[in-house]
Amino acid sequence: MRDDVDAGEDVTPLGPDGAVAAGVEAIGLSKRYGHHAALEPLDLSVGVGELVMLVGPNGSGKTTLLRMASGLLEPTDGEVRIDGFPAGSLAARAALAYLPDNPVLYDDLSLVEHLEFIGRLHGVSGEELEERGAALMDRFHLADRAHDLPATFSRGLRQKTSLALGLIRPFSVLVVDEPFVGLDQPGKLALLELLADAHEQGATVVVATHSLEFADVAERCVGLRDGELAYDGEATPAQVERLVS
Amino acid sequence: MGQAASRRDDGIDPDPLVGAAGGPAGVAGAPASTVVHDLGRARRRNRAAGVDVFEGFYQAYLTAFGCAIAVLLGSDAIGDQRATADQVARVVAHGPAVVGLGVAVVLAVALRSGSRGGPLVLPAADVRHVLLAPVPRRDALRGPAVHQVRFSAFVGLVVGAGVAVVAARRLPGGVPEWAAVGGGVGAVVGATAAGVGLVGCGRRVRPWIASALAAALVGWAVADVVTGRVTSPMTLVGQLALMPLRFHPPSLAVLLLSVTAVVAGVLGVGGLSIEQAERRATLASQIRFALTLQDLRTVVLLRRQLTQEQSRPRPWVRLGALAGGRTVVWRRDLRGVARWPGVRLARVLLLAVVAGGCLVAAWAGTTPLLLVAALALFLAGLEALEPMAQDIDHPDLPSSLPVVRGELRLGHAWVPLGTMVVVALIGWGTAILVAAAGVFPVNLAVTVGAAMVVPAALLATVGAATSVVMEPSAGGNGFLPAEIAGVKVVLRAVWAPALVLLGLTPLLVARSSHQHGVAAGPAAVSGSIFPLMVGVLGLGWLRFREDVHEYFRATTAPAKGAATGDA
Repeated sequence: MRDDVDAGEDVTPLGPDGAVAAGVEAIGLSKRYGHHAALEPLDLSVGVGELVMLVGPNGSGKTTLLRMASGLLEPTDGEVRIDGFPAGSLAARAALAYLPDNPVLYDDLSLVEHLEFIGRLHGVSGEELEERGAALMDRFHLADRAHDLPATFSRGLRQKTSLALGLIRPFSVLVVDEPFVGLDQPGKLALLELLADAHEQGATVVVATHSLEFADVAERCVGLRDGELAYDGEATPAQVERLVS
Repeated sequence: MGQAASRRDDGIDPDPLVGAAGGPAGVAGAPASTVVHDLGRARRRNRAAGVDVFEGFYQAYLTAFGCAIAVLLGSDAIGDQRATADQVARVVAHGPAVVGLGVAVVLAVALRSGSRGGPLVLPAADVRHVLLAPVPRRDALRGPAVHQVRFSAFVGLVVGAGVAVVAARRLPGGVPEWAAVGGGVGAVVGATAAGVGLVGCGRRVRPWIASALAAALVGWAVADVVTGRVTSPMTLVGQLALMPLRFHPPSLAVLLLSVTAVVAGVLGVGGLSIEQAERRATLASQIRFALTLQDLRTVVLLRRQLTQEQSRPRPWVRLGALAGGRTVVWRRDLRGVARWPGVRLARVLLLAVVAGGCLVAAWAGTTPLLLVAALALFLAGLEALEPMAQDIDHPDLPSSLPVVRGELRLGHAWVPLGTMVVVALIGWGTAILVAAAGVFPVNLAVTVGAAMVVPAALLATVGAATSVVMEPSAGGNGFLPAEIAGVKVVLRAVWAPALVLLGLTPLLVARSSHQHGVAAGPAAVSGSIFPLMVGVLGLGWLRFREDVHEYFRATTAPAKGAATGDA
């Protein structure tokens, strides 16, 4: 495992063996909880720089897949690779930004302190950290709450904070789980802009969402049902609607 | 997609999300350990800034006041009968192995906890932000691991010193000497347990392997107890603990093992499973919240989730199909017991043995151990009351049945009562075994124990049922002075265990009679009459609780209406 990978390099990432790697690759990936299969063995490859929409009804395995990609869950079998590196490895953690559906914040750190420490943990510091933090707070209209503790935040504000924290650091793979839940319309628009920006700048983006608006933006749609791959093709609102129903 | 690049019309340049710096702390930025350290320091600073100094002093004053009262009352309650020379000789011969067995149980629990990701409980935000950052996990986790070792050592120190002070009242040697040795050995055991747990989680020891190792440790210690030989390191710890009676220099070698376990645990903690860390973080925060509400039932449920304890898909014993009629509730409850997982059976068995052992020690003069016996029976009662607790958890279900709620609740009490009778019988058997080892006459254990089985089981059931049925504290003390609100909170917490303690008082009556030359058996029987009456009243309370509440509501409503000018 390469511990010193620079995930932000604007070049096609190479895996440890020097071959061109997919942004996200699931190989025989499965997850079981006792007798219940949350995800049946899945093979899926998301190309570098692709913008993919992940859809499926509740309990279809979307969150399980994304959490295994982030390294938060361990596969029962198979593996996930991020830019060619095993999910959860130091290099994969440097490459992947994970925006979860449930914001988890420190109750005793202000928003600006969250941005500072999480940025520093990802190797961003100094002026760059300040600039990125200010830009994100501006985009999500968080600037006037910069020094407040999250305990005073509404669900939507917490979600915006969580998104800002996920984006404060550079990444080459962005994995997002139900990002629009709890956001107001300006927040949704800001997030759509950010996702599109990330894609334009070459990042691999995978978004699990039921939002039909996103079908217009996504290049590809992957549908899951009962933990199995149900669809892999063009993202159209009609197709998305069929997959989530 | 094309909209993305041109949609910024607010004059702010789109920031490069991809590219530029990136990479792990320690590669591109400050060393990882510095960032993690700074993060912790900032959190502590913010927490300290939010603390009201006077409120803090007041809480410290109340705590110190409460502790002082507890120490004064406790000192009086502890028997001061000095052990005879024969008893001291027996403690010297068998004590180390018995203490070693206790140490083995602690290490076994730590090992099993380690296989499930314990003993570390990280804040959920640390799991999400620090452990998912490109920071070497061994660096990020070293601080919390050291903190855990320190905390476990401190808990061990306090418990060890407390037990040693009790021992000092009966055994030769001064209190300071016993307290110092007990505290020191307790700290060593606490730190070692944390180290063993950290090794288990860092090395990702599989639960079945951890269980096998835990059983081997306990078995080894039991072998030392039975054979009277010193073969296990745990017995060496026992020798250290009894140093004021006899010093065995070779037993100091066990400290090396302790240091090894702690060092290996702290250095290897980076291998912990992030999935388990996240699960523990979430459940532990919920348990803390439930504890603040004194919601024991929720604590029990969350603890089961934390230990991944689930009912058996296949029951130990197959019972026939559920028929209607009055026995349907009993049969449902029996099915629940028949599906108890092996771990729960073992835990209840252990609690029964602990209760029996503590009652023997209380008979022999160490009265405070009656409290430990009551606590053990209370915990066993909470396990036995599971079916009733499930009805309380899901109130819609009993409400939808054409049965009076009180009758249903009372119906749920019989199988737990039967279970607790079995638990009490096991405790009684333990007492007889200990008596047979020559500690005191067997006939005393038989007669006094026989008189205690039913009141102990009944009051344990009623006490646990009281705790299960009582709703969690919903606050409402805001208008009371702090001292009264505090007393109310304490009473609420101790009420249910106090009922269980009442069921053990026949032992005190019998002991007192025995000391005055009166037959202990009949005295125990007469001493059990009052607890039995209270137990029956408790069952009545379970049946008529709603009716009594309704009566008081109806009685006080006119007065309240008048007070608010609602006439």
